Amino acid sequence: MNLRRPLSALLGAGVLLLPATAHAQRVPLEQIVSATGTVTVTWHGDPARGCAAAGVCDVSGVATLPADQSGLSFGGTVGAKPAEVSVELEQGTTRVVRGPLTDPLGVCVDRADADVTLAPRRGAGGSVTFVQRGVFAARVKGRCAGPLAADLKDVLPSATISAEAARRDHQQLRLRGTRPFVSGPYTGTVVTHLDADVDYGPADEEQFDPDGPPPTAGPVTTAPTMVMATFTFALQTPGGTLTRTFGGADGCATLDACGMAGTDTLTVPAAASTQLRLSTTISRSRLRGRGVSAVRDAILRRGVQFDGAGPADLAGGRWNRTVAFGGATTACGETAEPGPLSLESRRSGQVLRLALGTDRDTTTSAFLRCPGPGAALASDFVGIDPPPAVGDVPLATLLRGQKVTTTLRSPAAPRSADRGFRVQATGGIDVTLELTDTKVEAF
Amino acid sequence: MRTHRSLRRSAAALLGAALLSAAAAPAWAQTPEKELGSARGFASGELVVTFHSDPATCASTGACGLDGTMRWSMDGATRLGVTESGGKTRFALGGVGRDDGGVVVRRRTASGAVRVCTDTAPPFQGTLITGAGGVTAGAPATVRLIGENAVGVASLCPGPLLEDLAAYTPAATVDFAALRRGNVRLDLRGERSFVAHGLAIALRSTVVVDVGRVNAARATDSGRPSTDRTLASVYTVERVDGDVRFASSGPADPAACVLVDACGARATTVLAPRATSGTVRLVASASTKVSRRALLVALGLAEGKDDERVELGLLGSFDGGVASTEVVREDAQGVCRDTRPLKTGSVIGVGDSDGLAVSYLPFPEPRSRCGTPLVPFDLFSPGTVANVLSRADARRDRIVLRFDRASQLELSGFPTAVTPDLTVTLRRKSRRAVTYP
Repeated sequence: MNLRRPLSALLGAGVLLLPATAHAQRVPLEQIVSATGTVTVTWHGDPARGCAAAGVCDVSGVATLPADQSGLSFGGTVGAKPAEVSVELEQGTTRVVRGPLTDPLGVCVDRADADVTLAPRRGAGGSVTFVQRGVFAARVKGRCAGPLAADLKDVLPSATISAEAARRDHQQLRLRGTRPFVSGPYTGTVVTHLDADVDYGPADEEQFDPDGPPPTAGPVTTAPTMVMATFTFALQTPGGTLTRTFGGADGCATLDACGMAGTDTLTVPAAASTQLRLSTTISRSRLRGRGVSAVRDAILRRGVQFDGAGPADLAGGRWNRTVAFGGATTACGETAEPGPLSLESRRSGQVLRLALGTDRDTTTSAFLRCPGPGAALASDFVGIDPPPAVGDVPLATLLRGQKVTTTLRSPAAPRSADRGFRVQATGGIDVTLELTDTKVEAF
Repeated sequence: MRTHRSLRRSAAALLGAALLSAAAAPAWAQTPEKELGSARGFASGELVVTFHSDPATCASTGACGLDGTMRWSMDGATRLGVTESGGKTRFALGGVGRDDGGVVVRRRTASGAVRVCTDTAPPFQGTLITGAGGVTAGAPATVRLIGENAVGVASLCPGPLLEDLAAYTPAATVDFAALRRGNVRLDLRGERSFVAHGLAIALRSTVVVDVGRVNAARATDSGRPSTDRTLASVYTVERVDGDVRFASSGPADPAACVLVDACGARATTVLAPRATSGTVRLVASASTKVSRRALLVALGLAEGKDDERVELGLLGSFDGGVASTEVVREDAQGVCRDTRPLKTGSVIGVGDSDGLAVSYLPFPEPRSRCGTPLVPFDLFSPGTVANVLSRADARRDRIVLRFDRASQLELSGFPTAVTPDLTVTLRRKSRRAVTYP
């Protein structure tokens, strides 16, 4: 069930793209989407797009993405109909072949899940056309060679319903069509055969609160009972390189990793004036004394967690992957600029752990088109996929204003995305932190 | 719509729990499981299974010429549930092996050419780790990576089933007292090699599960009196006759069939459920504002006018039967044949104004070692083998559930004809209503 999408996202285009009309309702509605059918994405290395240079001319693949087979998707609570429709493509399969289809040199199989969003646009006479919004939101590890989800833009056909149908509580969207796409060295097509039944019904009033809670009656507390502390650190790095070499491990036959030899190199540029911010809210009753030192003592002594963090962005990183197969004359090579790398932080006891990576959900930067360990830059920070590089700094030293240096290295724990591969990481990136500002506000 | 949805939810809860904990006998219909507690955990590691045809035995099952690999990553948060039923304690580990696994099987044809079948490894469903023993009495129990009733494995590709692997998967010993203290590591690493169903199979696990403290189950009674009244009438399964046939052919599109090794393939699966024992409950439920007598009327236990405010449901199961599959690939070294026992068959009926929409659900689902599309016996999309029982017929002492509605499905791109010819006959056990559950 699609509970991942925030309410604001559901409301967003539905409200913005469709200006209020006489028919528009501003009452909470529950949207339920029941979808059937399949989106099929096929691709192959294309000489006209430089597949020879990328080493993928013998690569072809297909991703079969069926609509969520449970049949129902709770779209959420929306303010008007027709609203955006999100279709979950679940339990899909990516199959990528290297060499001839009937007796391939290697086969890679991976799970492929994605969400696609259809945004309504009002047309002539009040008809409504649903069009693909954004790119495919992939939830994959991306270990097989193929296009990036971020390249799958404007590949779904549109579906139009009449003005009368748009006013109904039950709307049927039929999406049929074939559209081409290109992605790096690949050329492909997307074949869509999707039916979505969208039902609107009255929603639970308590769950719909677009403007926030109503003002409360009764006395208003004026005396500040809480303090919010924000620590700002200057972050410097001379830059550095993280290298991961990889090859096939147990089960490599399912990921076409047997005989594979590859290298990922992440180069982080020098940064002189990046900031990292941490904030926390503490009850005044937990403070012994006043001012910054009292707050700092409470954090260290009582284990107060940071509830807000401003990650430090490191622009200009480069990611290079080369992959070769034993006996093959060509190798897959790719260089990507993964966008801003972020240095996130999380407290663990008396240590602040810095983690380098990108958001797993990003569709733009966390994956490569060459095969290999998946989502090498993605990090969910909860243990399934540890961050690509981490470093610890003592919290007490840091909060007392002393300059602290640590080296970000690949963690020892295996990453889920590395399964099927044997990975060895080397290198490190030095990072220096120094407290530059502390702000304490009472409220 | 809401009523229908809530009914489906409660039916799902009932049947879901039943299937997840399904034992060989339909114990769930008679002996409810008691939840002892649960704990959070974290699993890591992989299960890798490689296999190839065993030259000495493969011809008898048509499994010659195969060479395959199956892989599941187990990383992720888990929840260990501890339940007790019929004096046995059961551990069920949920949430691992969900979304990361692959299957690649190469098949050498009669002429020596190679075909390849690829699929994602189906996620484990049901009980992954089970252990039976006197846990509550302090004796240790054995927990195994794949439990005796785990379902899953085998999809479009030929190869072993989860049940073939279960007995050979690594096991760990644990006692409930240790789980209560917490921080227990279930070390399920190990390697085994064996021959089964014409295949020489090697299994390697690097799976470990770190389990936190088991918290005792809390009573779920909210203390508020229910606003619904529910009564049931109990039926025994008198007999089950007939079968259900699934006839599939590989996808016609060469691009779709080639990577699942199904070009020109034909598969036939026949489910022949039989019953030596079984119990089904006809359930009537309504607000307490509706009289008890109205419920008895709906159940056929009293005379009177049927009150449509009474919702009817049907739920139960029976044991026995067999599922057989035959897959013909023109270029194969032989016809692949597979036979599996059906542990249980369930019937579930959800009421609406027309009567009861009754479905038949086999357990385990019809999968085979020959590689066939999975038939979606899904509670939320019943209708694969289904029919409608009128409210009038539901009031009889002898209920005949007839499943004979043929349908055409497309399963994973495989056109499939479903031809049921199945009759389940129920006889009322007693004319006394019982409270439900």
